[in-house]
Amino acid sequence: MELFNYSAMMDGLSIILMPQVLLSIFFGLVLGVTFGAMPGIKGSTAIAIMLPFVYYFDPIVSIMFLSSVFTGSNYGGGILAILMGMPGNSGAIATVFDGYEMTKNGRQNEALGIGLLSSAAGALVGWLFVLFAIQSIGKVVLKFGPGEMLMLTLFAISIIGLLKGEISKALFMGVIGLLLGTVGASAYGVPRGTFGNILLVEGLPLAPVTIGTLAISMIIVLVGQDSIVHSDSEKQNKFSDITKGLLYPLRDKLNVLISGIIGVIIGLLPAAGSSIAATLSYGFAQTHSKNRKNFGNGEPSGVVCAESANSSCEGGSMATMMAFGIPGSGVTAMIMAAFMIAGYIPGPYMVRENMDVAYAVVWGNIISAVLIIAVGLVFIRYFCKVIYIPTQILATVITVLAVIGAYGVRYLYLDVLVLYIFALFAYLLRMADYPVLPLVLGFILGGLADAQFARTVALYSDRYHILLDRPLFVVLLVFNILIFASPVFRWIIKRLKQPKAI
Amino acid sequence: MAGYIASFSVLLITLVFGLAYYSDIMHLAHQDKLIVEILLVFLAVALLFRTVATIINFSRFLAQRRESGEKGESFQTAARRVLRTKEVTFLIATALYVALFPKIGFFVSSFIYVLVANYLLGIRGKLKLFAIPAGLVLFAYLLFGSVFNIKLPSGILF
Repeated sequence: MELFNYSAMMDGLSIILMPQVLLSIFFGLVLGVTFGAMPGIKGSTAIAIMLPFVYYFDPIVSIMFLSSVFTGSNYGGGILAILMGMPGNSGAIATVFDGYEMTKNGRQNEALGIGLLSSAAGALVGWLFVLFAIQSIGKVVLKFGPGEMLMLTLFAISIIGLLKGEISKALFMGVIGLLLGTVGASAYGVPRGTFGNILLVEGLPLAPVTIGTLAISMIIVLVGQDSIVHSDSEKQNKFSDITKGLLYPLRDKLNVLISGIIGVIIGLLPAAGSSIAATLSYGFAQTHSKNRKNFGNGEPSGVVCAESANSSCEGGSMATMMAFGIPGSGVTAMIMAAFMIAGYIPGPYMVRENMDVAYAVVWGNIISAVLIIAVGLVFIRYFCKVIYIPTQILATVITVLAVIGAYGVRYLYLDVLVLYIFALFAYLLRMADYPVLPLVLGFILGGLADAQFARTVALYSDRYHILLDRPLFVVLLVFNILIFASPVFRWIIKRLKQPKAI
Repeated sequence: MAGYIASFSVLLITLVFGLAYYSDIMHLAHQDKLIVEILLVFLAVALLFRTVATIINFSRFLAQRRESGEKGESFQTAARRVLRTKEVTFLIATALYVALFPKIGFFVSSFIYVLVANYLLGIRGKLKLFAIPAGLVLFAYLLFGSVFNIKLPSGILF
């Protein structure tokens, strides 16, 4: 198999340079960033709403429009994570770790600048990787079975132990989150933890749980204060602070590159998702950084790795969808539907017959990764002013939008109740000084771990030794053992280094 | 003191959740409950550890208070102080909003909620008090109701 098809690549470029396609990319980005930055409204909602667009416009125009909405909403989710500590999408959860801390220290403009360029650079890394490797990535992706996916998910879960705060509290919250993630039908379709409520068979709704736990509970804390920013911190209010932030990822090039590569590889794996990509790259950056101790306290490199991986993951998941016809997430499933409505069937057939279209999508996304810098810059210039709004006003407005976001997806009152119950519980957790991020991380990854665990058990029941014949599984297993045992190793090393008392 | 009340509440809620979840899955087939059972074991260990740690910290806190001779805040005073905070006002207002919006309609209840909650939280000035809820409801109606056709509950009013 050749590495890439040059003539199709050039045909794809000529398709994408048509003015109407470029215009659709621009409008898609504007809409995506706007939606992504709205509390409670996710990018997938925007794409679902815009899907009928495909029927009225040229196929490539509509596909690129939806793909740009996806890119824009990914970035918009990061804006919300930085300014208000609420991830606009599950991939932005790792952005909260340091981005929101920077905002609390009055460095919101810088954090937004860092997030913008890291996001654009990460997307660029991801799509360039896809551009040159779309024909040959299949060989690697197909080697990932349920066992390997389970190991990968466990790897992402291990990040809980690296988060700021007391480790026993973080692990406690992580386990609660993982348990909450298993609520709903088991892999065999049997309801579990639903207490007879049929509406919970699909599991606890992601958006209400995430928004309630992270956003509304934080808002409850904020109503007692006058500002999001700590009273003793000086608020950044100049545009130059944003540009200062924009320059940071250029100095942290290696972090951008590694996180981008982690993101695109995770994105290639069906169902792995951007939350795993962002948390894995965060863990990697933290363990290899000189400023390791500053992670979780407003470390700019923490924002760089989270945003880069989150954005590059999109390229990977789109490549898997186009090359194999496997949508890795709800969003890629909707974009796949758009391809099919437009008459292209993603999968090996598309790679063989419509490679120019596949390359056009890749080129279009490379252009959109560059264009988002301009769109994002205009957007954050105004959006960063949100920290000057009195928190009391912000609280009520965000609550109303969150209620719309929770109710509007499934039209279920239960989702609004879930939003409120989780907000209340998370507020209690904050009062008791428990970290809430591990709970959300556990919840997001719990469902994935559950599914992969069930598949592994079903496939290898009573003959687990077969898994040890798979080199990739063994490598990931060793990595997992090392990372889970690392606190013990660290403790032993610390004890050995301590001078013995005479 | 308020922090300890919250800590013990968290532990109690987790215990109830764990027991309820266990009772819900105990009759399921092995394959359906395996991962939940593993996680419940982890939860039991973590809960035990946190309970012991919280009790030790709380007794230390009480001992420190006794040693320093300061009377400190009693349980009742702490509870009363917490109940009077803006946070609790917001929680109660939001609970009423969540409970009532399906009955009296999303747009009317949202307008009343933002207006009343902002007032109770200390926002003053007619313009701020009325313009913000009106603008928000109009925005929600135009964008979500008209453009995206999201059917928000209309209740008995609108």
